Amino acid sequence: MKKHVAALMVLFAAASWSMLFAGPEDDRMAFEKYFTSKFPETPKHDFINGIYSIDPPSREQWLEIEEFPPYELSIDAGRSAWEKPFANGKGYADCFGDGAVRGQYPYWDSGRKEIITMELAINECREANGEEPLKYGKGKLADISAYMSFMSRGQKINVIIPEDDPDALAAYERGKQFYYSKRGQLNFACIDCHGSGSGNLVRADRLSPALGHVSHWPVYRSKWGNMGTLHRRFGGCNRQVRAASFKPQSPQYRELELFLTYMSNGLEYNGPGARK
Amino acid sequence: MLKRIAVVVLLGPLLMLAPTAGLVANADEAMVALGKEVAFDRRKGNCLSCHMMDNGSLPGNQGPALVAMKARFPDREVLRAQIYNPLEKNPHSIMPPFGLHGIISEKEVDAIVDYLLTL
Amino acid sequence: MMKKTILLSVLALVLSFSQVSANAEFEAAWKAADEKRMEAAAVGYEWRDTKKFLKQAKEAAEQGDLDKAMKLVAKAHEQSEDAITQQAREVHLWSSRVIR
Repeated sequence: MKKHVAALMVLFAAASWSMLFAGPEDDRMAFEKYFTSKFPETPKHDFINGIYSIDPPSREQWLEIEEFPPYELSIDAGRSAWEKPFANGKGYADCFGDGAVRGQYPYWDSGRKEIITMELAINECREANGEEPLKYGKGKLADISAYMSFMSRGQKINVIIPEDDPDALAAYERGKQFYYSKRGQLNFACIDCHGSGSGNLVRADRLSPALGHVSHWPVYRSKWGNMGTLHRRFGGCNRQVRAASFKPQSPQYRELELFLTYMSNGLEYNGPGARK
Repeated sequence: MLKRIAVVVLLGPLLMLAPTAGLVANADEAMVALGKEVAFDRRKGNCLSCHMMDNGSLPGNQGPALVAMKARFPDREVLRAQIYNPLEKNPHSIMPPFGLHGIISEKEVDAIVDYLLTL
Repeated sequence: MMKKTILLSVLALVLSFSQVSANAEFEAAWKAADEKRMEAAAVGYEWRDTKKFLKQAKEAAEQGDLDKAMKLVAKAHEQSEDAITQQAREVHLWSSRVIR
């Protein structure tokens, strides 16, 4: 009898453990299934096109824009910057090879105990070679990121949360908590608009689904009139719900990027992109 | 003397009633007008971003259309509570807590309720 | 004549004292509101406009409009209190929103 009770207790503990601490892979599969069921018309691989994957009328307009992509100048500027040697004679290629490295980011650095994004790595490359870091968000750094993303088109999103490093899982969990928490005076969570609300209209704008959200950065956004990085957009979203935004490359936004990118594992990087 | 008192007693309430009734009607109209203004103001109610409402163009569809409000909310207080703090009924509601978070003032909450009940 | 002068200067003194104390009151309220703001920021929940209200309050006070300044401070303070309450609420709510 006692043995049975003990066995039951172990079973119960294991069951509640897995319910409470579903791993990143369980999260991802549920996330993917949610969106593929919500938008059965959209093939899974097409979610990297954001709103245009679920809204045929705006897709038409977007395809026209893509014929003369507004991000092309940025790729060119990024290429020039890439080819121009640093003062010490070295260059970005000494850090990133041919630049087609988008698929390696973001990653958890177990030695440093932090998340390394591609934009962070670009600045670290500069600083290691005696150059000033660039401003995150827009401008030159977005150009270099655009060039590298362009060189990396078609690479698979493949974020790894090392299982043997509890700090990595904790960072992932913080990103997840951020994504699902309401904040700001208007009291919205990311998931409110881009989960259950995705596909709905806010005035004339249709809300995009979260799956594939991270694939196409940096983005030329017509509303900005220039290029911006993923973290610039995070900041804009936060301010829209009337929360104070965090700085690009802050721990909060890097954790958010880690979580959100993990959710799109298996899809392809297709940056840079163009959006309304 | 007695007659005079009677006149005053009789006329008094009438005299008091007449202008007050007019004031109340004006105040109601003013509140409805204020409510409409606040409801449409993008920095305040911005109801149109999620609800089809009145003659507003390009409405969103996150929330239900705001029609037949009197029939749907026979109890004024239920409607007021939903605008003031929808989290009380559902903590996951995507509707902003307009009163609780001071997005609009107490008076503006009342005005929106007055306005919505005319729809 | 003498008496009048004394009376006037006493009056002026009282007035300036009340001005000083009103200013001190504003400074204290502003500081308390800014500390509240930092408390909200420390839990990651500062709202967008709180800092702006505090800045506007300072400007209003500098222009001598203490009434407006105090109102803005009160608004900023309230925002930060709401934000802190919001954070405490969300700590318990967010996980039930997770897509499973």
